[in-house]
Order: sequence, then structure tokens, then C-alpha cells
Amino acid sequence: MRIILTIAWRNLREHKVKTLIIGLIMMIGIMVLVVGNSFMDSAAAGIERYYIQNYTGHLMITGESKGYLTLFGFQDMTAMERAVPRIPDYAEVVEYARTLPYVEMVNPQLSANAMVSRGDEMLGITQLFGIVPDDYHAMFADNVELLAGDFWGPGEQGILLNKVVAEMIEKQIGFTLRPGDKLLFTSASTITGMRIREVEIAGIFQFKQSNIQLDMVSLMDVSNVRALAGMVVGHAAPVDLSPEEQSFLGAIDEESLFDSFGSLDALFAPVEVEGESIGDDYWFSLLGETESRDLSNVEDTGAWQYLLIRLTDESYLKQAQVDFAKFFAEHNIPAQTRDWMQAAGSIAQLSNGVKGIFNGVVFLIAVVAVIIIMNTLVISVTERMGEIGTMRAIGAQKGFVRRMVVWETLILSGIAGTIGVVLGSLVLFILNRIGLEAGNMFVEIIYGGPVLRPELSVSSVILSFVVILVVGIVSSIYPTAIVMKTSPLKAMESSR
Amino acid sequence: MGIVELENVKKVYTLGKAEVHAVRGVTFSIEKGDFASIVGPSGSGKSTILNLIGCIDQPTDGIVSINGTVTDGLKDKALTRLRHETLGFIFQSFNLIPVLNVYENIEFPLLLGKDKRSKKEIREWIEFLVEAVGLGDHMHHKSNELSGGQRQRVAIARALATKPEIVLADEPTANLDSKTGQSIIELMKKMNAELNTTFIFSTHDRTIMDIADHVIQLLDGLVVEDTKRSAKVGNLS
Repeated sequence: MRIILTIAWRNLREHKVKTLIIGLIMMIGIMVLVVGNSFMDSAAAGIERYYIQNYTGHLMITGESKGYLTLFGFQDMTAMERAVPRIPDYAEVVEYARTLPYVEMVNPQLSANAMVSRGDEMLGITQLFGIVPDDYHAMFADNVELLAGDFWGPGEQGILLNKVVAEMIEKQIGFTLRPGDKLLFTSASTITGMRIREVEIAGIFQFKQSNIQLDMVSLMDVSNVRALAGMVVGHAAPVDLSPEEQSFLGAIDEESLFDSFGSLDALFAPVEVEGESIGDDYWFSLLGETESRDLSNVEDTGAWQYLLIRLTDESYLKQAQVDFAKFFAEHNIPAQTRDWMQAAGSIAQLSNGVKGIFNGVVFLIAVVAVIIIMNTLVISVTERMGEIGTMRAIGAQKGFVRRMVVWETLILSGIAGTIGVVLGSLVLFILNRIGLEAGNMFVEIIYGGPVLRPELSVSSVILSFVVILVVGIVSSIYPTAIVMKTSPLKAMESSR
Repeated sequence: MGIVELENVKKVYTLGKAEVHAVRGVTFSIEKGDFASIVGPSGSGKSTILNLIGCIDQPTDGIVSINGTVTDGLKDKALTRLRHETLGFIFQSFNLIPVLNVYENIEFPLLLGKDKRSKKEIREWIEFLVEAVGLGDHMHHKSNELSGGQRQRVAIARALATKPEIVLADEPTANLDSKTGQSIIELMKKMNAELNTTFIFSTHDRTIMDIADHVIQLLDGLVVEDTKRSAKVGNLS
């Protein structure tokens, strides 16, 4: 082994130009990797930190459902076709959560989407978080900056309008919205139908750390959000008809139903009434039994869609997921947990996407580096064919020369890698001191905040070393194959 | 039985569609302790025969036996072990490992196998060899700091490091001036006498071949003369 290391080390020193070329490629490569990965890790950590601290907690409990369910509702193609499920046996779930020693606090929440209007004028849309101000404050204390008004009081209703949404509305109405003004909120879905609520503005606010998605979120009392989300005692599921009822109705489909009117205008023709005027009682009597309709307007006061949980330490996340899954299974509760990343939705996951792109670029750079390093090694090995042949002739096994070439690459990788890590750390130290300001919204999303101060991450150093070692070893495969095929005859031939 | 035996050995190389018959059926035997010279003009098959004896090439036909081991059918690993344990090589262009110094070059073959000797014994043996080839003052010089003659002396010491039964030398004096070449041959002869190591070298220099006690003369891939005689050390000086 000693002789292999001696020869490998001295060969590197002897062939300075080759060593310098490969070393520089490796050094720059590892520097880019260390800086890039640390940058991404810092951004990801920033996003994680600010989402956990300000929006999602560590864990989100929801009713059982398939699909891409986030704190903002379903974020997939089925969003309009299904309602966010309620958490079954909510009280039992909360009680269990509070018994777990690693659960610091819980916050129940709702979500809905609504169009905003005033009179007949449609003014925009907003995402609504249905919250209980005290619970929300307890978990996300430093998240909300009030610009006007205040949270609604206990037992009261109201909306804290996001500044971005308020400005969007103000542009259209031409004056400034103030607490006490009223707006109409309309939600519509194929499941819950159309629901309209008039809600008074309790205040205007902005999230201290936000992004394009969170800028559209306004905070509303839970009663109104439940109503808009269709979380009522009754429900409007299709009625199952008995065969007799179906037979009585005959074979009616939608087309034949509307065809029977001849023209849709008939539906809207003015009703001419002769004699005494007909009062409300007459019209309501026409509707018959209205109990189901009334129930569909009664708020389901115990219903929650999300229970956000903050843990005493993030390290309990896996344990919490296991414990809750066990609890749900034992008590036959169709609920599930989702971690902060799933709760945070697509925008928060964008940073992961960017990291994926970065890793793709790194892979491409690695491939190019492998090709360059391999070519240089091939030239180097070819130049030393006589020397290697001599070693083989005087008794060196194939494994010996293979180890010699590999060790050369490993030593070079180690040295270049260490220099690269040191330089990368230096760059990161400077960037950390300067702080990288996000020039626009997109960069802010990636940074996880307005300013990114990247820090050297141990994982990025380890990953970079692994990558550079893999690059080194892969690069030496072909040259090693040449070496392995080198016959001792080469020694004789090179000697003549 | 000779330490090297060739029996009707043939070697055919294929160059494109053409076949080159480098060795056409050679039979000879070299005894232990011989100072043997394989001579002949260029293209006579000297190097091919040395390659076959050196186990770095395989015959197309016939039997090559080294120290009682038939080389035909041996795998690369076994051939390499045979080379390491039984053979020493001296090359025309010295072929020292450029990054190693004189001491390390001589030590190198010893590090390729499992030597039962202690480090002290090994060091003393290498120092003996260095002194024996007259390079005691150049122990830590790299090969590029040595003259051609000095390099070949290092190569001789390296070839003897593992105490092989046979040392093969392919035109060992071809790249040296005549005076240095003579001194190298004398050194080889001295080692042959002192260590009883069999030396087989190829040359086309008549003055050098005269020192050999066994001369095998080749022409067009065939042995035309196989002469054994008493050598006279010092004839060349």
C-alpha cells in the first residue's frame, strides 16, 4: 500500500499540468457544489422555518382523503369537485393531541375560496383561512401585522382583509376600504353549491413574511368560513329514489325536462295574477317541507378541516406521525397527518423544484467533468504505458496497477475537494455577511424570505465530497480498463 | 533438465491478413547458472523468444517450461506470480520507474509480493545490491539524475532484488556506448558467478556475445547454432 501511495502521490507531482487541470476542475466543481447546495439548504431551511413558525406548524391533521390536500384546500384537478373533508371525532383527536408530551400547541383551522363583490360588482377573489383569533395568535404570534382595525372579538364575526387583496379591490372601487365596511363573499362548488355571505371588515393586515400565494389569504371568523365552505348540518347529496318513485317519474332526463318547456323563455315569463295579491305564505307553502333546506343553512359548529400542531422539537415529527396513525387506527377514525411541506402547498414546494433543477445542472456538470477528467487520465495513462508495462513485467498484478490509478484520482479528489470546500466556505461566509436580497417575488419564494444569508451545511459538504469521489472514480474507470489491458509486452515494446 | 526449456516452439503474429512467423519451431535448453546469449540479426526472433521465456507472451505452438513449470494454459495471475518469483528483467531502455529513487526502484519488486524477511534484512540486501552495482553514492537519486550506464546498473540490481532463478536481459547494452556496455556485461557476469543466477540476454553485438558460456544463434526464427563453452571473464576489458 505504501508504495502505491508513494507512486500515486509522486506521479501527481511529476505530471503537474495534468494534475492542475483535473485538480482545478474538481476544485471548482466542489466549490460550486458546496456553495450551491448550502445555498439551497439555507433557502429550504428558511422556507421550512417560516412556514412552520407562521403558517403550518410541524404537522397538519385532516380527514382522510386522497389527492393533493394542503392548508389552502385541494391543489389538484379535483379542487372544484370535492370539499375538504372534516376531521372526524375532532374533540377526541384534540384531546389525544394534548396528552402527547411533545405537542407544544394546537390550532384548528378552516379554508375556503371566495369571490369578493360589493353590490353587483365583482371585485376579486381571496383565499380564506377560518381561524379562532386567540388560538391563531397563540401559535403564530408574530405572523400578522395589523395595518388597520383589529381581530374580531369573541363571539363576533368579521374578516381581516389581506393588504394585497384590499388594494386589488380598492383599485376597482376607487376608495380606501376601512374597518366597518361590508363586502360580499361568494363561494361556489359542484358539491356545496353557491353560498353568499356579507361580512364586515374587522381590519386590514399583512403577513410579515409572505409570498404570492399567502398574499391572497385573508383571515375570517370560522362561522362565515364554515358557511362558505358548505360545512353545515344538512347536506345536498343526490336523493336515492325507490323503483316505484322512479317509475312514477318516468324516463326523464335533463334534455326532455327542459324540452317540455318548449323554450327557456317560458321559465322567465312574468306571472300574471288576478285578484288579491299573493303573500310570502303562499309562495313558501308551494315549497312544501323545508326542514332539509333549513338544515343546509345551519352551521356545523364542531367541524374543522385542519388541526395544526406545533411540536416541542422537530425531531419528534416521525414519532408524532406514527403515534397519530396508531391512534386513528385504534379508534377507527378516518383521519391522517401531513407534514408541514404537504400542508404548505405548491409555492413552498417550489424551492424543492428549484433544488431539483440545480441538481440536474450539477449532474450535467458532473458528466462534463467526468469526460474531461477521463480524457486527461487516458492521456496520462497512455503516456505511462511503458512504465505500467514494466511494473506488470516485474510482477505487479493487475489489481496493483488498478489501485495505483484509482488512488491517484482519490488523492487528487481529496486535495482538490478540500481546497474546494475551503474556498466554498469562504464564499458562503462572505455571502452570509453581505446577505442576498431577493429582487423579486420569484426569488423571494426561492429564498424563503426577502434576504437569504446562506450558511455552510454539513450535508452539502458530505454530498459534494461524495459527488466528487464518484466523479473521480467514474472518470478513472476507462483509464483503469486501459491499464488492466496493458500487457507486459508494452514494457518491451516501449523499451525498444 | 534445464531451468529453461523450449520444445518445438512456434510463434505466429497476425498483421491484418498477413501472418508473420516470428519463431518457426525452436528447441533448446538452458541450464541453471548459465550465462546464455541469444544472438542473431534483427527479425531473427530473439525478442520473441525472450518474451516467451519471460512469460509475457504465449507460444502459438510448442512447450515453454520455466523452472519446471509449463507456461501454457496459465492464467494472467499465475504468470505474473511466476514472473515475480522466478524471473528478473533488464530492459534495453532501462525502464526504471521515474518517480522512484535508486533505492526505491530496487526495492519495488520486493513490495509486490510477500517477503518473509524483516525490514532490516531487506534494507541490508538492497544496500548490498546498490553497493554491488557500484551506486552506493547514488542511493537517493532519481533515474533522471543518472547516466545511461548507471540506470542500467540500477535495472540489474532491481532484476536481482527478489533473488530470481533467471534474469532476462533484452539487448541490455543497445543504448549504451561500447565501454559502458562492456562494463554492464561484466557486472552481469559477476552477478551470475556470485549468485549463481541464470542470465539470458539477447544481443547482436559479437564482442558482447563472446563473454557468454552458452550461445544460441538464431536466423529467421530458427536455431542455427547452439554452443556451450567456458566463458572468460575479463576478455572484454
